[in-house]
This record gives sequence, structure tokens and C-alpha cells, in this order.
Amino acid sequence: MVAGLLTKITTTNDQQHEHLHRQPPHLDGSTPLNLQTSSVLAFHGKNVPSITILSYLSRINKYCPTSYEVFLSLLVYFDRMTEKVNAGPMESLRQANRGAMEHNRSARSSSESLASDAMEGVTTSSPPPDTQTITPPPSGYMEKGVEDGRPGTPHSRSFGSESPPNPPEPMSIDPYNLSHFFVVDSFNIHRLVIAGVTCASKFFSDIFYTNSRYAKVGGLPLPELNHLELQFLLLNDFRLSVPVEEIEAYGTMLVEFYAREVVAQQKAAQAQAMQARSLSESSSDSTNTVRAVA
Amino acid sequence: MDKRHPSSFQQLEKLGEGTYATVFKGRNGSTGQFVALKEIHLDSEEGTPSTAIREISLMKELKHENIVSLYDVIHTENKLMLVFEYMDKDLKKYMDSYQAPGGGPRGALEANTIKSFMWQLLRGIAFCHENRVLHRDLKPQNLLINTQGQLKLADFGLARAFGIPVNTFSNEVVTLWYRAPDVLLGSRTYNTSIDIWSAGCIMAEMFTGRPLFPGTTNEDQLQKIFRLMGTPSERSWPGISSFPEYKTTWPVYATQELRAILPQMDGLGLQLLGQMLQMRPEMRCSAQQALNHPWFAELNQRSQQQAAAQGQFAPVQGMVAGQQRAY
Repeated sequence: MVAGLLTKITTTNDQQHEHLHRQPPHLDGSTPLNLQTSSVLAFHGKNVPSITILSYLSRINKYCPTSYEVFLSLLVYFDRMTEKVNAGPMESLRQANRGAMEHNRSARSSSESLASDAMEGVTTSSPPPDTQTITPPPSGYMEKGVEDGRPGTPHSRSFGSESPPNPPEPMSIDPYNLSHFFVVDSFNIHRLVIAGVTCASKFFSDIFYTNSRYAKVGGLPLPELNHLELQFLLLNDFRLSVPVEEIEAYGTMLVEFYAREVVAQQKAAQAQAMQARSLSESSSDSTNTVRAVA
Repeated sequence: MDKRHPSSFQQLEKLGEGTYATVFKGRNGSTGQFVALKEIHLDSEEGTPSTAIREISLMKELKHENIVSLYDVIHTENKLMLVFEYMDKDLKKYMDSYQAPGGGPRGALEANTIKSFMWQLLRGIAFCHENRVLHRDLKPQNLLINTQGQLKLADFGLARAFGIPVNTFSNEVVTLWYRAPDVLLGSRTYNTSIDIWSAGCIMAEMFTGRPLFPGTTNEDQLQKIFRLMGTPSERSWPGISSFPEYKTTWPVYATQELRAILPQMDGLGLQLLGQMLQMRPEMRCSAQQALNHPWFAELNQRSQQQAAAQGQFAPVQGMVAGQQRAY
């Protein structure tokens, strides 16, 4: 029992920390997101709520206590939603890229042969090799980039494997516009959390609360929460089941992440001289330096 | 995808009304296929009912020939419509309307039918349990039958995933008559064995046409069980006195022979029933163990032959190989 409770507390805290560090908006926060999907748009606030993620989660856990798997499952759902929503834009991005490639190629070759125009329709079946290098923008969490001192490193699925920082092509052409992508950020995280907790509690636990309570605790009008709840379900294709193995894997990753985070923080604290951890690109270097000093 | 719109289904007669949903028979406008339409009202206080969230989430993962198929979910702002495979009737109605040709009590089914239904019921349960889902509300009303004699589990509104130990289990599950003694005693750590108890109750009911333990209250339900199974004690059930609902004032009943109240059952069937209706949850057999019981030997053999012949697993006795489910 105690162990269960401790697990819950630490797991929740881990998560809160992890969310906290996600606070710095990605993509330097300068681009307000105009997501094409209305479901996604529903979560996007005009402003960043002033309450921190840590306080927000604490508040939810205080007034709507639930099991740790509910909080843990949020991470799974956010990942799934990101993947599902971004699959479409990714495809159009690929296609646009192919188109652009082909355009270049045909432009080059147009002097040689008129027949190359016909190639345009065929190209989809033969993707040029470097479309592989395009990475979706950060899903926003489990951001190893943060501890590496590179906030906003594009990072797709789990925080175990790091994808190479790979900014997409210049955004002059529309499909390259990142606003098509679903990104968990400071503008939508609160709404995603409260809607996710509402759904996950109802799914996982025999103990849950009315939506009016979740709305009150979450600080949003009841009709809006009801709407968000439905959108959350839709974005997850109503599939809230999470295999035990998956939950456990996320739990493990979270604990590992937290451990790394604590170590990094302690080192940062020791090395007061190097307060630059937050901004400088050389954060990982500084960590190395600390390690060398210590 | 015109299929996504409610109007693409023609709504026919009402099939039933539950606490959170109304079920209609429907016809797919483009294919003519019959479906069951479960309409769920979205309450403004409660939002989307947890029953709906669970039912949809779990049934999307549970694809099995002995579990009703969920085809689609159609949503509007104030209601959800679940499109299910159409089944002719539930086991309750099937029993109520059944009169064995050779006489006998109304509602009592014939031995071969019972065996087939039990086999299919246990296959459905085994599949749920393998996928870490507890149904938690097995009763004749939630078992659907089609004209080909197929039986499928339905109504997963009380079901839940298990696997991660948590203390958020409610003991307000399962309709009273089919509720296991450990749950009646207040256990919140129950497991797959609660579905097996329900299956045992259903098996007996199919033989007699009457519910085995038709209790009126939690306490009455326990007494009815004790009258047949014997009043448990620390000796017969170590640890029973620590259950929340344990009472020292229970009248002491002796254990009766199942044979005495179910004379129409054969020896093997009684043996299997005895393994399912164990008071102590850890003593109850699993669904898979029940399926391996010699009582099902013939069905297992036939299904293996069919599987071998078809290269895949085929359902149900008496069915033409390759025959599709009814719509």
C-alpha cells in the first residue's frame, strides 16, 4: 500500500517535473499555432494559463484524486494523438517535398526532354531518398533536448531514442507550414491534461467524478470540458486501452528521465558558476565540465 | 464516408433500453445490412458516460467471434451512436420463449444447446481474460444469440481492464444474481474468477430455466448461495472473517450436492459446474481450464478438425464451414 502510494506520488511528481520543463514553448514560441483540425484547435488557448503545470496537476490530484496510471496514460495518449494527427501533414509534407524535388529535376531536365513532365504524376511511387530526413516538430514532451540544453529539439516518439535535430526545409511553401502539426505546448497543455484526466479516470478507475467537478477543478466552463472530452476521445479514436507493457515502459522511461533530471539539476546546482544551463547551447558541454571537475 | 452520418442508418424498432442508452434495430442504408444502434445521450453534468468510454475502448480491442462486433461510432455534439453487429435476441429472451419439444419446464434448454452456448460463452470470456479485460456483468441479458446458434458477449459498459494492481475496484458490479460470493462479501481485489462464477450461474439456469440464486438483497443473495454451497467458515475458507461483510450471525447451512438440484445434468457437466461454482475465488477454474474440460471434448475435437480443414479457427457446432455471421 505504502509502496503503491509512493510510486504514485513519485510518478506523479516525475511527470510534473517533466511537464514543468516542457514549459518553455517550442519553436521559440513566436509562431502562434493555427492547426487545421478543429479537434486539435479546440485545445489551443489564446493565452498561456498562468498556473504552472506542476500546480495544475497538483490541483487535479488534490481535488480529483486518482490512480497514477491515469496520469501516466496521459503521456501515452498525447503520443498517440501526436502521431495520429501528424500523420496527415507528414504525408502532405512528403508529397510536397517530392513534388518540389521533381519540380527541380524537371526544371533541370526540361530543356532535354518534354516527356519529363509526365513523370510528375509517377513520382509518388518513388520517393526521393532525402524525404526520409524530414522530422516532425517536437511532440513536446519527454524532451531529452531540455536536459541537453536544447529546448525544442525535434523529437518524435519516446524519450529513449533521440532523433537528430533536423529542422524542416524553409517554410515558404504551404505544406511546410508547421501550423499543420499537432504540438503539445504551453497553449494547449492545460486543456489536454484536464480533458485527458477526465477521460482516463472514467476508463481506468471505478472512482471518478462528474464533469462539472472536473470543469471546476480544471478552471474551464462545463460545456467546454464536455466538448474537449469528446474531441480528446475522437483524437484517440476512442481507444483508451493501454497494454500493461506499454504503461510499464512509460513508467520506466519516466523514472529514468526523472533520475537523469535530478542528477542534471544537482550537477547544475553544484556548478553555480555555470548558471547558463538554461539558455546556452553548451549546456551539455558544461555538464561534461562539471563531471570533469567533480 | 457517408457511413459516418446517423442518417445513413434507417432506424427500426426499439430493441431495449438501458440505464444510459437506448438500443434500436437499424438498417444500413447503402448495404441493407441489419445493425444494432446504441444511442447514448451525452449528459451535460456527466459528459460522456464512463460506460460508453469503456465499452467503445474495450470493444475496439476485442475482436472475437464470440464477442459482438462494434462496427462504428458516430457522434454528434449531444449523442453518440454505436453501431453493433445485429443479433436476434438475448439469452434471457431466448430461454423465456423456448419450450423443449419433449416437454419439461419452460425456459430449460436442451443439453446440446447448453453445451454449445457454454462453450462459446467460455471462449468469449477466455478471450477477454487473455486480453486483460474483466466483463463484470455476465448475465443472460448480456449474451446475444443469432439464428445460427452463435452466442456472443455484449454490453461491456461495466467491463474494465485489469493488470495493474490498483485499489479502485468497485464491488458494485455484476447484477446481484450472478455476483460472486467474494464480491458480495465486499472484496475489491477480485479478478477473472468473478466472470467464471457468473458463467456457472448461467449454466445452471439454462438447465432449469430459472435463475440459480435469485437474491433480493446483498445479504439475501449470500444466504441463497450458502443454502446450496454451505455456509463458509474459517475452516472451509481461511481468511473469510476478514471480509468487510463477514458476519458471525449467518445461519449455518450444510453443503448440498449440485446433483440434487440439477438432476437433469450429466456427471461431467456437474463436475465442470462444480469447478466454476467454487466459493473461494482462487479455487474456481479459469475459462481456459473450463474449455479443456472433458465435457467439451466433442466440441473441441470438432473445432480442431474444422480449423485444420479450413486452416483457421471455425466457430460453433452445426454450422456450415465458412458460413458468415448473420447481419
